[in-house]
Amino acid sequence: MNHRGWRAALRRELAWLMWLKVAALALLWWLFFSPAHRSPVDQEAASRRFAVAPAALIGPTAAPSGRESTRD
Amino acid sequence: MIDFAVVNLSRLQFALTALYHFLFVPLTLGLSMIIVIMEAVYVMTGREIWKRMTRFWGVLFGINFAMGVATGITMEFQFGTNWAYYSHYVGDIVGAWLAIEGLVAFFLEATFVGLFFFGWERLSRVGHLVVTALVAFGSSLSALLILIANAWMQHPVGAQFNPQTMRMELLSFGQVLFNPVAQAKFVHTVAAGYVVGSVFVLAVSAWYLLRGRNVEIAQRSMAVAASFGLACALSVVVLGDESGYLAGENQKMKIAAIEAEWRTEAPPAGFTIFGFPDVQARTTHAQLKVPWVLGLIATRSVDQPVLGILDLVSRARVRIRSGVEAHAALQALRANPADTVAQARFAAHQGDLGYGLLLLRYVSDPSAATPRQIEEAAWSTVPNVPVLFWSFRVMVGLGLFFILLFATAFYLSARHRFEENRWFLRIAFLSLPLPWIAAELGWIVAEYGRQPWSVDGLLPTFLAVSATPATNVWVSLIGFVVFYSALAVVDVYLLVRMIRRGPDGLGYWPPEPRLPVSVQ
Repeated sequence: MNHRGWRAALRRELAWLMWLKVAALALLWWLFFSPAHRSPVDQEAASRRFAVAPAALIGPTAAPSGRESTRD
Repeated sequence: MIDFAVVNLSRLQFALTALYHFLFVPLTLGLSMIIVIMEAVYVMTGREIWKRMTRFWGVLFGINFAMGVATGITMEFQFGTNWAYYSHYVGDIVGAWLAIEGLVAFFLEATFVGLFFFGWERLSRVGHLVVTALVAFGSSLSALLILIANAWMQHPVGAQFNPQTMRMELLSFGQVLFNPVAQAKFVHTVAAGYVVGSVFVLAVSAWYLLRGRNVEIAQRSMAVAASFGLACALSVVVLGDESGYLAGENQKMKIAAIEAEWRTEAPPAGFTIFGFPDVQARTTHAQLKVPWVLGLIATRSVDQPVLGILDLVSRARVRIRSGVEAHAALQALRANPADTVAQARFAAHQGDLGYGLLLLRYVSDPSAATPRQIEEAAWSTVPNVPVLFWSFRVMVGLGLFFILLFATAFYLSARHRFEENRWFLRIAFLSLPLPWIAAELGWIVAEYGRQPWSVDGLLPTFLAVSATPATNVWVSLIGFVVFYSALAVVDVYLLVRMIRRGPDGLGYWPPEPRLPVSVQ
């Protein structure tokens, strides 16, 4: 068997597959993950979502109060 | 404002992709363990036929494994694209388990699956068996880590809400790891996967025997599937009972909806075998009940009641009012984190904050909610009763059928009578789709029954979605449907082709590289 021949063919096929994979990933990134599609979520955005006032200036505060959620 | 088109589309997308992904997961779990059993017999006896069996079922496992990986990754992407607020709110807890799953379990199985296929001529018999066992172990570990994350959404423990960061933060890794819901879910799900694998092997082997092909391999495969499947089918029922008990402890509304139990019965409650739940009339018509059974399953006692939907809605009403207090205290804390009165008020009502957030569906300020809106929010805690009622019963019915199927197969296998009983071979072959139906219905019960919560009692689903245009979700949803349909065609084609060829037509594995015309 001509090993050099099939190795070269294999390399060509792998190169094509890698190129196709990178192209597909780039397309997915462009369609769904590029900066234009990002919706930044931080504590202020979460405050707005939960209809609570924006935070006061962050400074030294008491430890977060609370307990584990209780079940029915 | 929340765009409910985005909410519904995101839910639909996650449901479709999760249900599709779970077509492959249980077969991976089941086949990986079955090939360990077959290879162990090969190592112990040295009989070549067991090696051929391992390699044949291993190829089918490989096709399925690749599909499971491809469809699982996309689900994690959705947490970022469609569920950004969920990721922000609980990412500290859930994200850690997804990361561990990728770095530990998936890398383990992905590494050793390569050695499984390409190491037959390079490893000793025992060495290769260890590799196969590690693939199976990696699959189960992967399931465990994902189910820990999922169980936390059903029963959130070991975490608390931080009003400053507006997110849940981990308090105890151990509590999340040893969450009893996670442990029960894991053993139930893995055992169900073993049943799927066993029915698959049983059905394909039955097909061979019906055609008089690969008889030696098919008979041995059926024997393995029958004995392993019988043990697992019995386990699924016992372990499912434990899941039911834990749901009775932690998710009372889910149990009430599964049972269509509108009113609290005097204990011990009866189990409704059959009936027609009527959501409008809040009753179940033509009920056929078995006394005591529900009380024993859900409470493990004869004197504890199983609360009905009406009583649980009344409780939800109380918790919503308490949640309004928590929301108001959170407002005050956000304005002045040092406000000790607000801290004390928040501490007293924090456990009900999620219930207060349910009101945001009806009013922009929960404090301004009318009694009617509170009533609507309380009733929104009831999941879809008819869907849960029927899904659960079909799942349980199929589970009992599998016990009968495997018990019969075990008996025929012990007496070497498979080929004389063609009726059984036909039933075994026709049973092929049933374990998948049962497994998917199980997830519908678990996840649809968690609604309206994304994280039970903490985060309503409609608040968890991203602030993304509906068009984005439409495009990705259509993309998933098209791409997954194509993958399904390829998967079925590959599986059917390999099964038709059978172990005799497997040839050399891995196949020799195709030679270019010029060098042939």
